[in-house]
Amino acid sequence: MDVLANLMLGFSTAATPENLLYCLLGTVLGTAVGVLPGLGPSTTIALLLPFTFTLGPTPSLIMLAGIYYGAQYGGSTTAILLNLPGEPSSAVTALDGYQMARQGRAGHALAIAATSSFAAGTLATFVIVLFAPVLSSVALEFGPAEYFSLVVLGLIFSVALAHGSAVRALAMVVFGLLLSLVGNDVTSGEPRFTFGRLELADGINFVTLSVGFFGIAEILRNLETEGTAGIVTRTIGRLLPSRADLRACVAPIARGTAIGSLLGILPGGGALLSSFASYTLEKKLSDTPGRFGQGAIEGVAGPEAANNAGAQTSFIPMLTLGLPANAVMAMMVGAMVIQGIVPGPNVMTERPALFWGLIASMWIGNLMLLVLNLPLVGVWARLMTIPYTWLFPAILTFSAIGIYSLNGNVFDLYALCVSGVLGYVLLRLGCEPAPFLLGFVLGPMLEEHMRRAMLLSFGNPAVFVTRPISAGLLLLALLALLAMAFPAIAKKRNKVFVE
Amino acid sequence: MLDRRGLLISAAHAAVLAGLPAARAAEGQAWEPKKPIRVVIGYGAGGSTDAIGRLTLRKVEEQRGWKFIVENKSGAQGALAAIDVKNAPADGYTIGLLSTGNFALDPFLVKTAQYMPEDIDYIGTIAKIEYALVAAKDAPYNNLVELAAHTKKNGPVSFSSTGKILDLAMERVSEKLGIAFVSAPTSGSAQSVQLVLGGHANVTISGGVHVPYIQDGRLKVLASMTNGRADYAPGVATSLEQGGGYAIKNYFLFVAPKNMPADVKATLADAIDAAVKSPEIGDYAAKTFNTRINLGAKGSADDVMAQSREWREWLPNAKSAK
Repeated sequence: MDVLANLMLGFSTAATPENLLYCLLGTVLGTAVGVLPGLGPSTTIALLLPFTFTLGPTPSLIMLAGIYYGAQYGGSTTAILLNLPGEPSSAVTALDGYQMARQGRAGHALAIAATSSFAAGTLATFVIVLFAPVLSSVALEFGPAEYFSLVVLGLIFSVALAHGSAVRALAMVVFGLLLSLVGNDVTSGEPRFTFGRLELADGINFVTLSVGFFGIAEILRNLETEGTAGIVTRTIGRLLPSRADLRACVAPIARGTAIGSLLGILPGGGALLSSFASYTLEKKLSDTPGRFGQGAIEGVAGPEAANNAGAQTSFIPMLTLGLPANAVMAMMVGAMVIQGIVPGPNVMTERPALFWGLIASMWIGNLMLLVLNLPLVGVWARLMTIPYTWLFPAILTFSAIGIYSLNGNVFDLYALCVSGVLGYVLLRLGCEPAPFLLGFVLGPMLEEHMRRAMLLSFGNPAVFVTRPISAGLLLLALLALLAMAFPAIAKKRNKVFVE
Repeated sequence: MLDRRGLLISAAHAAVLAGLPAARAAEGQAWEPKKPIRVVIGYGAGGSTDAIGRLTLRKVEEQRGWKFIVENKSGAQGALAAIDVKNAPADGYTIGLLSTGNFALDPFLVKTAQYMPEDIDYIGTIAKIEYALVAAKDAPYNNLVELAAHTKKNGPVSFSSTGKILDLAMERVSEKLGIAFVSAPTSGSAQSVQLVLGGHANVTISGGVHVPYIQDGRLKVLASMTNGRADYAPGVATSLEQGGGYAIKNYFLFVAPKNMPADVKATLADAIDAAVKSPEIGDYAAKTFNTRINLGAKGSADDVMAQSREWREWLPNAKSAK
């Protein structure tokens, strides 16, 4: 009964005209900034933060949350249409979504992304309502050793993102890890591999790398094959997914939601890992794994569901422990603190209307996104019919503006050029950007948690295998690695036999 | 001819224009920011520095109608933010919020310090941070002496550390009382406290974030680490009382790039002082168990310099700083 009472309280809070208005404002704004490469939710929320002071705590948090998941949504749109993931999590959506768009199924991809996000959002809302108190204690169980092992598992999973050689994918993961070491040392603050450049003190920017590796590299590749058929399709295709498509996506959506809800509660990259994990799982479970990376609709549905569910459950550690999962959440914590609410175990009991209202508003916001975006799918998809002579310069311009606006730093533009060319070279070598990006994003977490775990265990590496959760995660990683290695060994044996 | 006259005229114009700001400052007309001021906070969002800092800035916005853009730059325990402030133009449009330890201590702990306490201007403090050493409720020790006895018998305890100053404070006290500990740096007090709550670290020194957990009975105070007892745990002695021999003096400290124009610095210092004196900041400081105090521009600078001299003397004997 508690659950029902909580839900009722939440919906009655979220459904006031004022809160509905700010929810709408946030989601629309979020979608808009998500669509522009480079200009992400962090910049927007930072700019809007002063504005929220004059609002009450509930409407301001509802609006900021709306920007956050609205941007996830808009990010998927550019990932699918232009191969430009603005957020780490939409890098996965780009894998199959962009291929679908190239095959003239942009409408399908966009619609299924919207539908899966909404379905996952709905389910995740219930997960939060039912399990929020339990989930926050699970997050406490996760110490440095557990995080380290989780990241290791995520990195191993990422190899499955690539279609083709596992060795190359592993190499790309390692390359990403290496590049992520650039910047000031997490423990001592000493600069590493920065060649004395202060611009590199904070490391290489993720958005710069991803826009370069995906967007610019893709443009370069397309220019090379100019004139050949099949690069771009002038048809948008049916907008709404067929019933068969929807049926194929039900299970991936359910699995994605489960993974997302679970990993989302882990502060620091949980939501991001969930979309990678979901993609890996769908590829493994599929009867035709070869289709993944060639425009498999499950490869869009699962990760989009996971991503959205994770984005929602990542509010749990933020609200109950004051632990932000990412930069956006950190700003939400700041917004709460400014409103005089100290995030912590007391929020749920002392501010139930705020807590449950925020949760309910997420569901309402997701509904708004669906209603707003389904009619817009046709408009977005028409982007694909713009001739390349117009589209490419426009993408380059917007990317450059977006990247420059991150820090107002010309250095970032040079970095964008370098990563674009590097991305192109790697594409030509048959090395894929997704595992690289995951290695790059998770590298700092891997290092930080490993060093912290080792310090806390007084230098005893056994901590990674004696703690049950950590050991379980590492075991899973080992199994995944073996599963990858064995088919390869088996294949080699077969070859020997044939010869 | 024409050219020369043109030059002369524009030179005269330039002289008038250049003279204007100086004249204004002399008349005591305060500088007014014409665009939002960027504030680099050296700790993560939601931590204690961030919380009180944003509240103070909000108060300034109310009182003066200025606008601030807050940026949390928490890398390298505040060093990145300090370097950012040091390298920013000294025009009043970039200020920083860190703590005393970032300037009085941190630069002497790295091989190649990228800033020194002398490289920065100090514009005021918000509050003195009332630190306490805390542990999980069921930990088998209740004070520093028991902690020392425990580590002698069972080996070192783990300590989640939110900053070098806390690390060294722990070391100074431990040296005196014979406590053995291993320190693991975290990126903020929320994270440090979470590690103790989850049983991943044994103890931490925290400046406020721990209080709700003391009150709900999940954590306990082993010692107040400043020169006064904590209001929420009046029965627990300070580290000085327990023979630890050291009390932390750390303030939430506003800083700016060196050599700001005097009127800009004075205006900023006044604005911050007025905000710190407001009842809201007093209430908030009390609520978070810190002591509101603004040392002022000169007082803050003197305090940083005095503490930095003290640390420079002590550090060569430190174990962990080598």
